[in-house]
Amino acid sequence: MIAGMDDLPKELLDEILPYLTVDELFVIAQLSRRLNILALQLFFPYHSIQSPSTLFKARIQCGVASHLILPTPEELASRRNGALSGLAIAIGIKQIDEFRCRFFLCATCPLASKFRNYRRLIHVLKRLEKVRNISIVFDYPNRFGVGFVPVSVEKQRREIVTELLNLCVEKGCEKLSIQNGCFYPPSLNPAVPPSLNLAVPPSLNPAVPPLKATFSLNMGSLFGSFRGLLPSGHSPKSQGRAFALPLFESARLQTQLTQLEVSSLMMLTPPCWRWTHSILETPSLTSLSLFQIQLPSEVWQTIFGWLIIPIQSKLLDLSVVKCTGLPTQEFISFLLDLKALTYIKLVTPLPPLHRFRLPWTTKTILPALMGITAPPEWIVLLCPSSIPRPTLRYVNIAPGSLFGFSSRIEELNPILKNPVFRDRTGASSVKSNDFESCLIKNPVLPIIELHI
Amino acid sequence: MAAPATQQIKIRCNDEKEFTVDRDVLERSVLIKNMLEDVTEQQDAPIPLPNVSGPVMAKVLEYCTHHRGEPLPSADTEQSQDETRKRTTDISEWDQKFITVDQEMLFEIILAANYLDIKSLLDVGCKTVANMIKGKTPEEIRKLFNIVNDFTPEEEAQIKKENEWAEDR
Repeated sequence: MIAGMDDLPKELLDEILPYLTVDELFVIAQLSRRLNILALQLFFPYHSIQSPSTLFKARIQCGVASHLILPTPEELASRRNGALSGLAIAIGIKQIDEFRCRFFLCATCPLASKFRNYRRLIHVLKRLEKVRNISIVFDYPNRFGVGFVPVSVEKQRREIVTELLNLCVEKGCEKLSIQNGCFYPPSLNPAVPPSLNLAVPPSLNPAVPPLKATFSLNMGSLFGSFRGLLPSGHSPKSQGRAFALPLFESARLQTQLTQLEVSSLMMLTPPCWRWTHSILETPSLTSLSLFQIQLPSEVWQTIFGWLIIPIQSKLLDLSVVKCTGLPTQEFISFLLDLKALTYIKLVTPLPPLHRFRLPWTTKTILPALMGITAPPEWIVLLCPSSIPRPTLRYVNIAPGSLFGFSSRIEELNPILKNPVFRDRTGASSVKSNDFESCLIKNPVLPIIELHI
Repeated sequence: MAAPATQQIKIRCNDEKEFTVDRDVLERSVLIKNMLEDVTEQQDAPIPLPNVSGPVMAKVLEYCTHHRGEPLPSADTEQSQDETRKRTTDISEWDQKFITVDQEMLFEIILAANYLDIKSLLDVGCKTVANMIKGKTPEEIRKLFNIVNDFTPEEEAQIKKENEWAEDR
């Protein structure tokens, strides 16, 4: 006996609800607990929200709507609030503990509308009670990319970043990652989350107590983005240094530091790197990540000289991604001295960067790695090499730049007997000997993991 | 023995009501179609359908008779969520008239269509329910479909409040 809609089994409600628009689904979500859950579950796929219990991922395209529900321009006009209602609905899901949001650059979107969306984001985050891990990627502050950023824009963005920081502190978040947030750092609440990843250094108040677990410093596109803000008479170099030095100083104060991430440093002068020395003396440091750093090889040599002594016996993870100017010989001997290493990620620079400096290559590095007595269990390569390595268990290939990749597949094949392809989440796995076809089938696969 | 096209099949509903129907009409139901394919010998015993009542079956058979001979939707109509999303809620005139029944019957038809695996009838039913929902307030929908509001007043106020800020002013 069917007394009402609530008595229908879930499978039939799942048939009915897809006929409704986002707004109508939201009405359904208000009816009863059961319908609330069903309507919300249905809502997720349309907003690229994955697995509501663990991961919420909303995409906002600068005040327009989620691109996933925009089939035609007419619908676009009528569904402007799609992504926003998505965020609103997300509030209903109390178990969300990880929140990721990415704002896309939209050249035609008015600034006021952008900032409204940032505010909404904070509004949503405030209501997510269990959220502990927040990752926000803001669009570039300037619709023309790097360059001049109006002071008023910078000011507003700083307010947003400050609010986010405070919010994380209030909630006791474990991790906060903000990219492209603002360029003059906000002042920090002393109780920042243990892992803080900001595109721009927090202002460095000596009163800030040491952080507990990990601290990752991600300087983002520090140099490039700063240009527009420079007072006249300051060279980009000195400006970059002015920000880098207190950043390093702050990191040095973190006596529990276990993880250091340095990214996008360009044209920094050797004095800056002296500061890294003091950081690297931190006995607790076990993970070092260098991302997209362009330095002259003399500077690299000095760095390796410093690095080896304090950390050679403790460093477990090392990532060197798209760094240019690395002197091959010194780098190899540096690697050989890292006895405790269990994870290496080496990614060669993208082709355009070759113009500037001859890059080190995985081909020259790999034979050296073979000599390491305690071999890394993991090795991450962009350009796989043909060197067989019996102890190697995983090859992790990031297809971000597959330039020249196909020609190397054959080289790799003898090593790979029955590779299993997986995406980063481990959700789907494809068994295939044919590397390339897997890549073609999965053009957006974030990471392929090969188990050999 | 009659030719397969006019072969008569007996079915029995859960209220003991029996129907004798042309095989091609019954084969609109994928469930029965598969059953018939599994049984090679001629059987005189009626097919039991324990989940469907006589009055509902009569309605379903009316639908099947009207649509007899139309191609069945192919089995691999596995649509992605995005495509599903764009489904229209248009219903043909005959179907519209057919589905104009009281709410209990409507839900019974949907359940039967689901059990018997008649995709097109299921779609008609679901579209009808969706159309009934469209443009109504939560209160109207609750009343219409007999839905018990089991939110606490605080929860309800919260949900309503959350909706307001999303409006793009």
